Amino acid sequence: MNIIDSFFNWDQIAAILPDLILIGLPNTLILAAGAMVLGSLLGIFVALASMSRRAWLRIPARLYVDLLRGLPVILTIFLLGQGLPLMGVRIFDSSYPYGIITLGLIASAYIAEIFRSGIQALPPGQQEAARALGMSHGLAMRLVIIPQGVRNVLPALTNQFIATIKDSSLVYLLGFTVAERELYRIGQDAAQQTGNLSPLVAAGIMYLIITIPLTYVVNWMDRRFKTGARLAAAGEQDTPPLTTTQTVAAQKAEELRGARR
Amino acid sequence: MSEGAQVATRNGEQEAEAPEMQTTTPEPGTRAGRVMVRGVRKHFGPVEVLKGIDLTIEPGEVVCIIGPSGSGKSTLLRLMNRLEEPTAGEVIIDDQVITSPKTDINAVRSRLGMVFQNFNLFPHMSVLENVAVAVHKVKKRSRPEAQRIALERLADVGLAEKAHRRPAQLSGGQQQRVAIARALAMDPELMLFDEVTSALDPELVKGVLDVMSRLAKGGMTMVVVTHEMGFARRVADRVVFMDGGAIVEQGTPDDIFDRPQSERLRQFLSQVL
Repeated sequence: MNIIDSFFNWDQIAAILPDLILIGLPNTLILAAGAMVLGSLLGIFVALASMSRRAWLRIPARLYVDLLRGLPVILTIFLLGQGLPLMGVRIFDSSYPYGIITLGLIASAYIAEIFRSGIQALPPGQQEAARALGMSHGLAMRLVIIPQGVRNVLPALTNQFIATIKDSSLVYLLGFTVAERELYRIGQDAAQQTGNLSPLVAAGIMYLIITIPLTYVVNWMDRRFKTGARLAAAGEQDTPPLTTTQTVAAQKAEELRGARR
Repeated sequence: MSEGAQVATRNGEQEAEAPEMQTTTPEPGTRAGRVMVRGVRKHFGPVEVLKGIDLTIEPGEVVCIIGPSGSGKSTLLRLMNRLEEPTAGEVIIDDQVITSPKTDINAVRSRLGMVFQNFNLFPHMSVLENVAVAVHKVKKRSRPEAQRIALERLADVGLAEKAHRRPAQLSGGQQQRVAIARALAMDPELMLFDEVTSALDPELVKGVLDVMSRLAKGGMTMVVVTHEMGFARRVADRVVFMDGGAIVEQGTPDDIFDRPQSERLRQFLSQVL
């Protein structure tokens, strides 16, 4: 039993590294990013529907969220990834796009809940002020509520991105070509061929290289947004002029916000 | 015409009170902003917060609504632009029954200004955008035109130089003046003020009240829910005292503050003055 040789055999790792970096990493990122874009677009509509006063919008939206959040990812991937083509949605030859769609649908359920909580966390006065100016519900949502809601939920969305990156390791089950393999599949293939776990460890390290920095981005955003909230609250209560560091922080936040646009 | 009698007495009061208002008001003939509240009741669940309110506000009139907290003042105000729906009764603005489901409430609201206790500025927009956004998106003016109007209204409240700040960078008093500018930029017929100085530190109250006084002198129709008795006395044409979801007493500031008729008003005044 040699732990180093079983898990950290450098020759094995070096042999698989080019595939991991050139094929696996791009595919994992394409799958996850594609799913996040799809999931966010869909998620915001599901979120709005789930907050609607109209039952025919609200109930299906809630059901959609409950189903997709309640089922194991692997079951959903098989059901939807194979089911969509079987149902007649045969737009693509490869199962790769169906993988993105499936991951996106799963993510959309979580993202819908994220948006819903972000929007419901806003003070009701924001909606009231917008409506009092004569804005329709839709216009108030578009100009006032959603922009603020999205900002509030950026940390949670980044967390969801991390979860989707990890979930993307399951879609290979739909059957991918050699060039479509993502990190896990490449590692697993090599591990099976060689009977050594080092390629999987290498794949794991690749995941961590993406996900760990992202978790720190989340922490950083959380901190910064909290500071922002404190500054806003201080302004509202009219506490005596902000200390210089606070003012500088406020201005920096301001610049960043401007830059992000 | 049930309001006929009231109109007559109202005009009598106004002539004596504020003759200068007529001169500064543009086109008095077309002046709009008459609010009629008729038989309005409002329940929140089992609680009846308004127990049958009848109130008419004439164009150009400044009406201050006072009363203990929980008396239904804010609810009454919020019914006037249908932020609350009445359980019974109706609210009519310029012959339009705004409580009817058929009314285009957004069009009505675009002619009414409202200022809130907590300012409710949009924190993700600059001060200028806050004031301009509805002029552009609701009144459909061009963006440059909306911004020009916004800058003018900001200048009116003395904050033109803060146009490119964010609301969070302003003091509470300044934020509230921006909120007033935001409402005024829509060129409203009527302004509703909901305890607009209650969230402010005492030294910041005056700046906001000064803006409101100037507005009143300019002939704006105003309904002001307030705890500022000094303001009500100086600026109001009429003071309405509410308690327990009903209008207990109303009259000129002198009537209300110097010759209170009801025991409840006397008691209230003894507590707040």
